[in-house]
Amino acid sequence: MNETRLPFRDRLVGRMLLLGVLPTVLVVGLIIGGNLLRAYRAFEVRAEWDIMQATREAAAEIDAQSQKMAVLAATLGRAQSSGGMFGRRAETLLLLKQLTESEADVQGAYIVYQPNADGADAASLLSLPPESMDLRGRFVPYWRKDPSRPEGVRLEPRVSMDDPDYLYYLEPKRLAEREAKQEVVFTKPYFYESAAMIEQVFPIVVDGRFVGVAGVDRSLETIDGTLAPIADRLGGDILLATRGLFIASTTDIGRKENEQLKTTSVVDSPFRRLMLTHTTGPGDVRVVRGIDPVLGTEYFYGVAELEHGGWTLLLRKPTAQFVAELWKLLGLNVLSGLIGVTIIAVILIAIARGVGRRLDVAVLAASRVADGDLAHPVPIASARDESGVLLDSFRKMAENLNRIVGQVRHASIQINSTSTELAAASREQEATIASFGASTTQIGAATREISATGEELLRTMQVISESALGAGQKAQDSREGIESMRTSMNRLEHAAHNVASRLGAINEKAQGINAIVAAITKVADQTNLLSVNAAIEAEKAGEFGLGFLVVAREIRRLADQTASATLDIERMIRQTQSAVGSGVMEMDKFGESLHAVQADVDRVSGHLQGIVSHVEDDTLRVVQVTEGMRNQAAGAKQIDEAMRTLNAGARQTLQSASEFGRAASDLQQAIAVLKTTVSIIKLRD
Amino acid sequence: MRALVFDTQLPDGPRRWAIGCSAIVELLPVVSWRPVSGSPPWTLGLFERKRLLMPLIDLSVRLGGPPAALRLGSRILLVYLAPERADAGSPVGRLAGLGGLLVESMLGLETIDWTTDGAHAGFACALDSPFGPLVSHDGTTVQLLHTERLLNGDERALLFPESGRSAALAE
Repeated sequence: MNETRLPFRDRLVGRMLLLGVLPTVLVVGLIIGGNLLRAYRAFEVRAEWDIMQATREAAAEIDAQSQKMAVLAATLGRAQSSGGMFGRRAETLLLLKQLTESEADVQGAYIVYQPNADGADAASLLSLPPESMDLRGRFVPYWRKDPSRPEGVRLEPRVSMDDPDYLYYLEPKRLAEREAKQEVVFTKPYFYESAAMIEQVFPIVVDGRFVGVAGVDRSLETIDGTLAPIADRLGGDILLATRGLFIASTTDIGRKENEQLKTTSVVDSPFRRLMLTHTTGPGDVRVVRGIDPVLGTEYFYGVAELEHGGWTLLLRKPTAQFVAELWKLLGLNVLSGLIGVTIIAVILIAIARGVGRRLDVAVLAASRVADGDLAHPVPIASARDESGVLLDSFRKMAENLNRIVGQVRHASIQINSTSTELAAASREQEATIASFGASTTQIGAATREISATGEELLRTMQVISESALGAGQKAQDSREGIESMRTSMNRLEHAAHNVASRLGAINEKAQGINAIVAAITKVADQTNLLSVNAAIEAEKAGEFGLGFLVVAREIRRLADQTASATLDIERMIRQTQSAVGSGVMEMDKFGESLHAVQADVDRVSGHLQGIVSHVEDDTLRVVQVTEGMRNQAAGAKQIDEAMRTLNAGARQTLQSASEFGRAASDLQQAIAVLKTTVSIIKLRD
Repeated sequence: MRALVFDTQLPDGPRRWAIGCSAIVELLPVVSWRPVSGSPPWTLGLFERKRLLMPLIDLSVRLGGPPAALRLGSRILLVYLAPERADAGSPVGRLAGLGGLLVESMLGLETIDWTTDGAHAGFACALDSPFGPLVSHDGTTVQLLHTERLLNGDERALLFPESGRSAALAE
């Protein structure tokens, strides 16, 4: 196999990879990119929603705790103010102790009276534990949790009531006395005996006079403890601040300098802008996205203002959390895309290699055929795809070519001999066409004569046509005349019949007359005879008979006159009779003739009818013949023109024949070349 | 003399004859006759007259012409053909010797003078000849005919046997 090696990009495999796989990769990349963009937007929206929900949740929980504390403080205060507890110091002590023990969130509970507000300061000094009073007996008990004591709580007097930094006493007093307001006051976080805490305080007002306060406190550590599970559950950091100071935090930053942060002013902290800018009022939640001022990384921030104590809550989550999910999604998409593209590429390569092999075989066979080598057989294709069909077709083509070239070789020999015959035939044809030209000229002249005759005939036929039409009309008229004639004949026959019968009557009468005349004649004859005989006798008598003789002579004369008259009558009668007889006979003959004539008339009428129809037919035929003659004349002209054309054609054919002769010799030379060419091709045996 | 004139049609034309009235016994109309076999051609046969059978002679044939054609003027002349047989003494004897001559066309009675200057005696003027003298009369020539001499002896014997009864008896 002298296979020509093509560069890879021109080969079928290269093309299929280039045109099949690259677009696929592009499409897959576009799909993945589009999906990621959409997923990113969805993640962003969901993250904001998550932050907002988490912020609301945290705010609700913290608010719930604050409200509980506020209720406790308000309950303690109202028990003193209107519940009848004011002045009952022992019961109050017990209540405070039980409250501190039972409420886990409560760090401590306390009551602070105004100095001698119930008038029992002096008396109390002796009866009540000293930890519940100051040195002058003012009732200031404070129960707080103390894990070091066996009962878990301890009692001590409240201090720093009038310290303006602490505000747990002065602020409710100010509100009650000046603004007549009785409400829970949430204090700033402060350190009370080295523990950071905040207070919820309610004023005690008896008979419109401020007499003291009741309150519960929470340590910031406890608040921290409540924030931690919320922050863990929501997956973020929570910051809590009030009155410009941080209360609690779950962040590491806060943790590191926890104590400081808890009393650090918000204004001084890096979160100042976040916490102050985005709060609008209680219940409002804002979500913002920004760079953390401390860590420098990007976070989602949810900021909410709580309902109780004017607290602000800030919850943050790093955006990296969402971006990581996006990256994971991207990784999965890219991986599945790569696997798909690889599978496609592998399949394409397999197909291309198979097709390429069969095409290589076809290319080899084609190059052999191109070189004129038909001796090698083309292998049978194994696959049934287009390349296999191509290979099969190629094999059939090679076989057919083999057979055809063999036939061509054989045919070229035959054509050679045929062309020799053709050359001879073309010479004969030249001679024939020359004589044909002369013949066509003669035929042309004859055709022109035919054309002229045809036109003459056409004119005659037109005249005949008009005559035929006239004859038809006349025959029709004649037939109508014959019809009236037949009617007249009928009348005539009737009249003849009448005449014959009259003549018969006349004949009878004449016969009667004849009989009379015969009788007269007989009488006359007898008379004549008698007179002659008388004369003879008178003669014989001689002289005596003379007179008698005269009489006899007169008689005879009368008889003779009678006889001649009767002869005349007889003759006339005879003539009349013969005339009547011949008249009757003539009338009979006339009647027969009339019959015959009537039959003839009928026949003539029938013939005329026939003539009319014939004439009509003939008229039609004459029209057809005329049309035919016209066509014939035109045809003759056409023939004449055709003969001219034919004559010209014959001349051209003569030239063509000589050219054909030359072409035949050229053909012979060409066949010699063809034989040489075909002998180059190698054929299978 | 008074004579009965008649014509016969001969091959060379009509010829006029005359018979004297004295010779004529009676003029008869044409009657029917019975032809007789074996008789001469100029005889027509026998006819009855007064209960007697008499011979009838065609005068035209006898005179050398064709048979007579019957006409209105045709007559039978009753004459004595054998006058020697007649017996004037008895009515039957008076009828013996009579015979009929059929003339084709009788013209009538004429008075003719046979002895005038122009008359001719005739070529056969023997005593026994029937043909008499000829005379020019009325623009034509008339010859007298003697009927009693018309038959010769043998003819008379043939036509008039001795006696009808005796002849029959003789046989």
